[in-house]
Amino acid sequence: MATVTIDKLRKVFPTATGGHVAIDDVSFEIADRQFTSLVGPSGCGKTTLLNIVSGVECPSAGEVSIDAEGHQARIGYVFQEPRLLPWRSILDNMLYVQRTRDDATVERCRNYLELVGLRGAEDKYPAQLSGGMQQRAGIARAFSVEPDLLLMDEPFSHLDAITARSLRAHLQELWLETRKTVMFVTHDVMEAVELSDEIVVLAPGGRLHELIPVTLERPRRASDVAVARLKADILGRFEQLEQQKMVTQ
Amino acid sequence: MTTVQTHSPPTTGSPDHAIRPRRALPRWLTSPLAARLTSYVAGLLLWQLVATIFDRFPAPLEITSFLVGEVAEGHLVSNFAVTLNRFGQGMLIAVVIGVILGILIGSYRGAEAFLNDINVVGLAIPAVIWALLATMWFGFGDRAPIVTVILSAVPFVTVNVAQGVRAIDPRLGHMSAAFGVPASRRLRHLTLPAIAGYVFAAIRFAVMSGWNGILLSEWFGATSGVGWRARYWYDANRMPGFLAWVVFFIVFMLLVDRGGLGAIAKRSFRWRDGDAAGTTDIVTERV
Repeated sequence: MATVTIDKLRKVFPTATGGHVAIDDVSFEIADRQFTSLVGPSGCGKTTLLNIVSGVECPSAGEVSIDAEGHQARIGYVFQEPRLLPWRSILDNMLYVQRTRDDATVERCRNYLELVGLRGAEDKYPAQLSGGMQQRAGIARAFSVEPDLLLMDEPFSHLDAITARSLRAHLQELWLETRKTVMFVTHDVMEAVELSDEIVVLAPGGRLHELIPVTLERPRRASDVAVARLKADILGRFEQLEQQKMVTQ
Repeated sequence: MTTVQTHSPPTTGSPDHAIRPRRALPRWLTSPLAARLTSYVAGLLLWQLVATIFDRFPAPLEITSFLVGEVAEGHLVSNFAVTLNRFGQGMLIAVVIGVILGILIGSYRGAEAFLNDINVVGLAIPAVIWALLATMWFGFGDRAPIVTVILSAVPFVTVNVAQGVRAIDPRLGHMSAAFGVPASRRLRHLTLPAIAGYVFAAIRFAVMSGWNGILLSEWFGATSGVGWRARYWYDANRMPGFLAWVVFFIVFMLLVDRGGLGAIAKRSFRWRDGDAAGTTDIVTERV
């Protein structure tokens, strides 16, 4: 389990004209076992922030620390696309990211495949599965490493609405069972409200705009009135943000 | 006045314009296999024709009987075994070196800057130069042909493997990094399978170039092997003997190319159409 502290984080990508600021002085904390969504318009630095937390990219300034009760935090990552090795079976794809390869690990991988509804697909190659099933495999892979911190980057954005809805429900069940610390990037406010304990709103230019706690009871559904009301409220705040931006421009 | 529109079914046109299946030639006559066999037969016929016109050009039958004679005296098998042994050793070393260099060039900018131009020089040097140089360096024996195969094959493997490494989807590397997959496992399960197709293409070019190299090297600097045997007949001014060995090389290369490499490539790319059980016909791009 893990607590994430993001402190005065800044990321500048060098460009021909000097540099593009992707994240600008962002600080916030994610409590242990909390589901946090990062919401904001395209290009506001959501994915960059996730990449820095995962260690794939380095910050230009500031710091990200992950406190995993004394040991090095284990990270699971679900991407926009499944990112499976096409030449390995689904089970081998799961084993590819594990620390150990003993019988217990294989058993754990099989369990998570079953939890996402992919029982019997262990020996299939990714190309033999539909896009939705491949994404399920990607989710199972991330959970199967038993991560202290789970990073998810718009995992349902490439799927059709019906498949996305079913996977969201699955994810909520899985999370209620395991209670991992989650950072979930999305541009869909409804999705954020349905899944999160807290919503981090990033503004264009990579600045932190607002932290919105979500205290609605779980399990939640998109059709719940309270969920819809909060979504409308947050969208209202987005409109205000856009108006402010237009005024300052 | 109102006009009444009636919806009638579309007319089907006169029988002159009816669309019928085209009368095609029988499948066996238009198949790729038929085309290939026709090319072989045409080649043989042309050869026979040339042999009839020029007396310094032996006919197919004469060559065949000469080869049968070489087999009967044991020259074909013994010399072929010697060459194949040298060729196999050289190719194995060339593929290992080429894959390592290719992965370095494809993965690291520094390695690319350092090695790329050297490799281009290697590609540009013809096998005959390596054969002559190796003979001058190592004299007669096994070493010169093996080194010739290595030097003429490595650049082809390197350039293809480097291209393969550059073509790896960077998102898979990013995924591996995010999950903290160790480098050795990444090499085995990500890089090597991803470049397999390029390695097969590379081996195909390398076999051609290496085979050239070994024949020339044995021609100039060996006392055994198929290259040496071809030269033996050349020096004896025995046209059928010389051409018999040339025909033998050609048939051997065709068999290696069509049979061996193709079959291995097919097996290795089962995942491409997602057919784990291998029950359907596998579409493999020819490498």
